Amino acid sequence: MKHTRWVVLIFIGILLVSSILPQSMAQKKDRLIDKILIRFFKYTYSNRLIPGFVFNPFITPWKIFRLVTPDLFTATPSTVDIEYLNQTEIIIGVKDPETGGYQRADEKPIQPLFPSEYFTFKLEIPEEIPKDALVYTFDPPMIKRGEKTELKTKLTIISNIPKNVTLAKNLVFRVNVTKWQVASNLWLPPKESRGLILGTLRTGRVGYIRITWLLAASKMFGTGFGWLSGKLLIAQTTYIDIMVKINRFHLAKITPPPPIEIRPNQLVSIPIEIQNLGSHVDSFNFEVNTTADTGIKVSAPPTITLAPGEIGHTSIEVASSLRFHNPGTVQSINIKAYSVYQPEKTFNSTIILTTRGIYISETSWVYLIVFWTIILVGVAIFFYRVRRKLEKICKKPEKPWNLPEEKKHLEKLKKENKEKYIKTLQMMREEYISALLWYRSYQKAMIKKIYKKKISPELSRRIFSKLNSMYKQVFKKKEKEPVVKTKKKERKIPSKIVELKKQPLEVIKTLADKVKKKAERNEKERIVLRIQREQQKQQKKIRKNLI
Amino acid sequence: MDRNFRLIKTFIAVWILILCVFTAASPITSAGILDKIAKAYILYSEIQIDYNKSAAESPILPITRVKEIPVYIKYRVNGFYADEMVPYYKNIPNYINIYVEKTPGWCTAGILPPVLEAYTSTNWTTINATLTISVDENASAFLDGTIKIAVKVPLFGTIQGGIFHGDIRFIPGYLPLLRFDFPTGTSKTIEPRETANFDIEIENLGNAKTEVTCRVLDPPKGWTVDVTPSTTVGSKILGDNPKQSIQLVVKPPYDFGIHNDREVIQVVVTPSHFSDPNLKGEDYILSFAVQSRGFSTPGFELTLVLLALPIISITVKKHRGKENRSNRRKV
Repeated sequence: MKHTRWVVLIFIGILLVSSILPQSMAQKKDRLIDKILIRFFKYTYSNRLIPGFVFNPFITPWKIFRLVTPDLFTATPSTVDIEYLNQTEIIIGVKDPETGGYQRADEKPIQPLFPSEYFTFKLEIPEEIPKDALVYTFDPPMIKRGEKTELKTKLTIISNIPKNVTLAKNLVFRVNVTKWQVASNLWLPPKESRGLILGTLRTGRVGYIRITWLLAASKMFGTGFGWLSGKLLIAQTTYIDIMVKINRFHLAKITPPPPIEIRPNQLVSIPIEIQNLGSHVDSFNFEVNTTADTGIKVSAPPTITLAPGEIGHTSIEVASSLRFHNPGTVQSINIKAYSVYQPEKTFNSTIILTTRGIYISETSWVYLIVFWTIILVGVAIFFYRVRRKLEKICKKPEKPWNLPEEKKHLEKLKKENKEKYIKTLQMMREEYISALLWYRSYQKAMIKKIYKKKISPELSRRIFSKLNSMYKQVFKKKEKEPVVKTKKKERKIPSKIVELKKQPLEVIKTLADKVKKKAERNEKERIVLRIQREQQKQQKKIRKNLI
Repeated sequence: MDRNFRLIKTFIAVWILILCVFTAASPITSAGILDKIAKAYILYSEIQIDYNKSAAESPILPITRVKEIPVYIKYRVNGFYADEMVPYYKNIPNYINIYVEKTPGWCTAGILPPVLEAYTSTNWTTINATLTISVDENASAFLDGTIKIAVKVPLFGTIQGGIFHGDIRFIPGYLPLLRFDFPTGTSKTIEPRETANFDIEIENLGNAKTEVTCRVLDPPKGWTVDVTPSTTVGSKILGDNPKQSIQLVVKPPYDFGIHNDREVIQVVVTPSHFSDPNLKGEDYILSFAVQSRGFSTPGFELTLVLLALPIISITVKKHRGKENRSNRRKV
């Protein structure tokens, strides 16, 4: 009864304190009420029977009673690089701050209220990643409390992100760690903690949980946790965020055109297709090398910048070789592309090129023209000089019908007497032919004379004998071979010359003399006529002047 | 017997008292006595979110880098009777959650560990966490980025919980990225006296105003190659015009004679930050093919013709005079 009285008094005291609480909040601590409240607080925490019994954690708001203690899971590493077809490993576990390692699963004793406790893991993949793009495993998939193992699991992610999927932005993967507990009989405190009659559960400084357990476990007086008895409960859910860096990887696919045929001395653009299969926007530089001869010039495509998955078109400029004749040389051009950010990783392709055709350079044309011009000029000069020389020896006879006097005369005859005109013209022609014959024979004779003078017979003989011996040496063997006789074509000699040839030499000589004399006479006559004309002109002029 | 009876009576009385206490204080009855008393013992959680400023302020390079910024969560409790009450709590940890609340669209961030163990104290106690940031190419260079992080403190006895927010400022770095277009192609066939002009259109895909420097790589002997030495290209992110054109002018050798010269001209383009030339990007190599084909006159041909004309006329006159004289002599 003594105890009952005390309880009643305390109870009344509490009621009184609670009624004056709002006013006391604003007061200083040295007041009586503050002292009472502090003492009361301390009293509720005392380990004695009554405060332990009355102010048990179930009903005392400032007392902490925790059935489940969270486990602090974390991920190592917290950031991972993910790449196409790579494997990433992350450790998810509870770190031991003292050792730096991981806590052991059997480090904490199994709670009597929850005889079975285990952890499961699940990876939550962001929506932007297509299904089946990532395959993940947890090893072990479940950790049971009390097992002789570390409280950790190894998460392995095998990425199989399709090449056409662009994941430019980094992602956050979330690992869901769930702590499962199987509750035993929660209506009563754990067996080993029960007292002789009422049962006790000492939880540090929290106090004694006595018979009030049953009331707290009920829905009427407590939270009703007693109803969870025998059930599998989710005790804790922890989300661990892992930063997934889509690793910047550089990959390109070059699609070369089909084999191309070009002609020599051509400048052609060969289109090529390049696709960025890397993770981010990338710029690709190009390098080219060729197995072809040095005559070919190849210009690499300029830098191309492509978004992930984008297909770009560029071209290689090829100046084909300048060979005169190319029957169809097959050459290969190796294209090397590399990201400007990773020059050591190259992506290669080859273009097959056939050069076929004939090429004559402009230079050759010019040289050819110059050569022939020189030759022609040379020949012309030669003939001109020969003509001049011959003219010095003897002038070629002029056509008599072209002489102005004769021309006038012929015109006159043409008008007056046509028959006479034809006869006169015929005569003139015959006269001209004979003059020409003489001119030619005279020329030949004169040339012979000149050569005879210039080259002595001794020297000519020596030269001839030397040439003969050389000829014999060179063509000795050839001479032995049977020589097919071929009939020489007979030159047709004009009938007049044939007739002349038949005549004795003296007659010819007299004839030639006659012709020569005639020509000389003609020439003299012409000169006389010219002088006469000039004299007439002068006379006319003098007359005019006199008048 | 009486004794036993008395004991039973006491037991029943105690049980009745317990029931009364429970009824008065149980959560179902919101206005329980102990709940009212608990109001006197209310403590408040205080959180300060701090971070390593030097780590955050060093620019973070977009795409390629992930930055880890140490975050310091400072925790303490405050209240009227805090000093008296805290010793009773100090050995029982509270578990606070930390998470990234908001990031800019061009940024990805995560914080670990997600749950922190905080021991109650009236003095500041610091708990460490690590914030991981990565930035993509749309982040404007050297302009502040802010990540909002939140700390959720659960109710712990009479220690009030709450959600606390903090900003972490960081600076994205400069990412130079250029795209090229060639409206006039990359190859030309010209005559020796002509010049090959190539238009190079530059688009800045980077995250800042960029100075583009161009230089000709090993110009061929006898060829004159000129390229716009530098130009400034705005950034699309900042709302500027991201395109700019430059010119490459190639003049082949034009000495007298026939030409069939083919050369590959290479131009190296280097981007750098507009205000800090030391922040350079990678070199871009642009190749152009030029073929110079045709005949090239010496250039002074007109002078030669003008000189040759009087010489020829003099020679012809002289020659005629000579002929006339010889004819007269003959006569």
